[in-house]
Amino acid sequence: MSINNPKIKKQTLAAIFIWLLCLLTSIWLVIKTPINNDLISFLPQTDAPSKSLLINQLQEGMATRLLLIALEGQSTTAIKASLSKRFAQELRNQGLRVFNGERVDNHQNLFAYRYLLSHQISAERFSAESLSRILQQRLYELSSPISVFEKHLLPSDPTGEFLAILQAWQGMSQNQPEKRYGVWFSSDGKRALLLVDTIAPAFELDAQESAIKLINNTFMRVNTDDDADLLLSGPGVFAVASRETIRSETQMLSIAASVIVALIILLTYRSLRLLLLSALPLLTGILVAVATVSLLFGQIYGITLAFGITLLGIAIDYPIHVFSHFQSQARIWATLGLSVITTAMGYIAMISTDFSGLMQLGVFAIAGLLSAAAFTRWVLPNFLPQTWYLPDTKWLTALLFPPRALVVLFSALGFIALIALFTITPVSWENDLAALTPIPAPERALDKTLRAELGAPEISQLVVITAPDAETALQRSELMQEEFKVLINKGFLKAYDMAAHYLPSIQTQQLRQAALPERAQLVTALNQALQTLPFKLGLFEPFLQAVEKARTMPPLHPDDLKGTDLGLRVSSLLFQTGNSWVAIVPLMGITADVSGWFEEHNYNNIYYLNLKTETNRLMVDFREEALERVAWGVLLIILVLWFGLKSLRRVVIVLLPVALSIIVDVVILSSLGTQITLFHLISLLLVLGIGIDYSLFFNRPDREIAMRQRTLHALLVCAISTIVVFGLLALSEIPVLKAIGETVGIGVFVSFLMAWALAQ
Amino acid sequence: MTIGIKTIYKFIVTLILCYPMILIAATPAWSLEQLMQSLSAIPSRHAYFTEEKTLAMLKKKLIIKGFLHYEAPDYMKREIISPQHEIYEIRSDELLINRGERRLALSDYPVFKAFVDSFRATLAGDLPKLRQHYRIWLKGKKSDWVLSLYPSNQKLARYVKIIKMSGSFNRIVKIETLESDGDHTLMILTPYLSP
Repeated sequence: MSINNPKIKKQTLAAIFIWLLCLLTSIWLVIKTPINNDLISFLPQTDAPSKSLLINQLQEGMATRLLLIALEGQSTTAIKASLSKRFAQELRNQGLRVFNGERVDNHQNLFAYRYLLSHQISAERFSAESLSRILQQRLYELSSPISVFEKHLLPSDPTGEFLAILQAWQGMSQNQPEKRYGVWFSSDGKRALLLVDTIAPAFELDAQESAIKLINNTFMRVNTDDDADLLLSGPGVFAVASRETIRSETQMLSIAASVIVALIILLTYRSLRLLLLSALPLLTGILVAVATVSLLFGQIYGITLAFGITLLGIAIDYPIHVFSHFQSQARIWATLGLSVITTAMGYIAMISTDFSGLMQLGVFAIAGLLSAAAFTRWVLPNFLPQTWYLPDTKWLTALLFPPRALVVLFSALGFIALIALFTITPVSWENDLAALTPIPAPERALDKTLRAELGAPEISQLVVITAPDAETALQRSELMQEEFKVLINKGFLKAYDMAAHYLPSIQTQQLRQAALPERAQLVTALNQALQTLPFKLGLFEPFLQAVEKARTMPPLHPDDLKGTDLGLRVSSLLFQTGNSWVAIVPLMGITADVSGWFEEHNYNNIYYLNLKTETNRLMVDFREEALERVAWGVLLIILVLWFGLKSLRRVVIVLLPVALSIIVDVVILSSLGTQITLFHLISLLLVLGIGIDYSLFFNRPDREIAMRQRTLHALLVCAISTIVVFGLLALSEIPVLKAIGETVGIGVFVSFLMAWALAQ
Repeated sequence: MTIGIKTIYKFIVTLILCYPMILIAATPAWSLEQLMQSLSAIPSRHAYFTEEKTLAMLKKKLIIKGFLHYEAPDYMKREIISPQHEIYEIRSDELLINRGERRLALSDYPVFKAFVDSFRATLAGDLPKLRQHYRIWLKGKKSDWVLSLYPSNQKLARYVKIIKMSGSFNRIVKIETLESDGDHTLMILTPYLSP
């Protein structure tokens, strides 16, 4: 390419201009692109869109806002208990809601509502016989030593409604941890336990991070005598930690990978300029890809970004092809073009799906690949040095033609793997979303222990009641109480919790008000009851007044509870989402599959949800859809290759090593005991693309020895750098990165050998 | 002689005035520490009790009868046989009513716990614990002493004014409780051998 030719120069300038324009536009778009880190909405929304939406909302609910804290150390239980109290107080002072077992008596304002909240209220309760029986009981209680502290309630609440309410609430939270010195402790007494409500849902990472920082700083301030260590867990901690781990680990790995690849390229090509140029296609590809997705979808999923960049890994190879074929660039464009188009075709199938996540990924990969390739073809050559020669490649001659024995061996290996795939090592799919968390196993174990000790099991099975307003939701919850009683009696579950336990619907409160007797009637009944009892005359005047007042007072509304502990409890079980209200009923101690029961009864507006199976089902759906799309993609690839190579025989020659490599890759992974996840699947797509590239290049019709040497040289550099990059990922502790690294590392290694050995 | 009579008279008056001091000087020293030590020497106690409660809410006194049982260091049982049958048991931090009909953690009710400890810590001879919640006065001699506990804990003082235990040697024979609202309880204890 001569720079002196003015026409070409014009074209060159145009290409560079367009590239710069694209780049700047992309950068501008990328800066504005919001990243959606929500895994669930990335996954498909299949049968009932409202259902998956509901799951999403639940995961933003109360459970994800809680942080679990343990204070551990050599000091005595008493010291840890007082530390727990001081710590909790300090945190409360800073606006966090903290639960550590200390009894907080802030239910006093509810005392006035006792005749509306107590489930014991009925007209019969205030009859002379009933009052007589109850007051006889109260008289007995006066002989107890506790009466010293409780008898002051007697004149205003002789029927004991307030105590009954408190006891009922306490019964709802039976799973609470043991107490020592008035605060929660693990059963072995070694850890003081606390729960903190961060107010912000777990996915609001910045809010979580500042809450965690606040907790740590406060603890440092309180723990002046170094009495204990702070253990912290919970969804928020995990979310922040995974962000940190992923950030620091990807940073470290990408720096290491860049350095090594840079060294490889520098040693191979001995040119600083080429080194700098080699990174440009990938960078251009990523920028354009993000910009395109942003333009089409208005946002990009964090996962699309991660998967997409993985898939674009192939773009490292494009400049290497050019460098190795420096003296004969014009002769590789056709092969490179076919390789790029074929790979891009593989992703077209992804676009035609309903899953926005998969669609984004398809668009990302295609836009990235095409722009990287276009850059390599039209812009990169203009920046190449005028006088530069590829270092000697003659030493590769011996490797040009693999020995016959190797060819047979590799084909045999491939076919053995194929047989193994169907017989010995069945592929096992990992369906558990949780398995993909980057949180190390010991920390997950700690979380599990703390959860068990705190009696705060993850809400995994629940019933969701939807309604247009809070009142209807409460009424529907109350109607379900009978049904739950049946389930408990059948032994299907041990307990359940619901907002209506704490706050009855207004309808129910009004029914109770209607059941309260008029003053005159109550006086008559009370006097009759008191005839045989030693209580002094006029003692119960406060009671008479309270009942009279309760008859007409406005019922308690959810809003009245705002800011109280009870309000917190109620709002975690009853909340508004969009235009509708949701009441959730966590089911505890489930011993049988109750999904059938709910299917059978088909209650209106009431759904049973098993969060784990639901999210896992979403994952399976996504995978199946992705697999189907990949199958269509492969068909497209075959068609494009057929069109490009103009011979079905050559299509088979090109694709055979690719197919065998993927099979060998899967068999190796499976025999290593790896559960195949979505991330492995996406990585296999990259292996497919790279494999086709290698195979196309090895099978180039060019018979000239020098040309073949250059091709082998290029592919060796490509393979080595790819294996190094992904091999480093395989060393990562983060399951996702490890999965991608292993799959691509092994896959590319095998692909190279297969393509080399089986090339014609 | 008149002077002599006067002198004798003066001497007698002085003697009478000084009698308590002489008495105190004559009996061996009887300290709180010693009482506590002698109380703690008995790891297990059984007693029959009659309790008389004078309550402002009631027209008549409440008479309660039953048994008390103590087992060092922190078990107490109060079994009422009249006017109704009822069992209260306290073991460490747990209060059990009627063998589990109602179950409370004492630490949830710090005021009640301090009240319980007035008895439990006395029986265990645990002076430091007693001093956590009460100011303590001991009067009398070894064979006839009165231990008065005044709540120093503000919250407890809201309910209880004074707890007065009377005893002889290592035996407690009477416990009087005066509540802040004027209600009053008198408990008479008679030791009995556990069956």
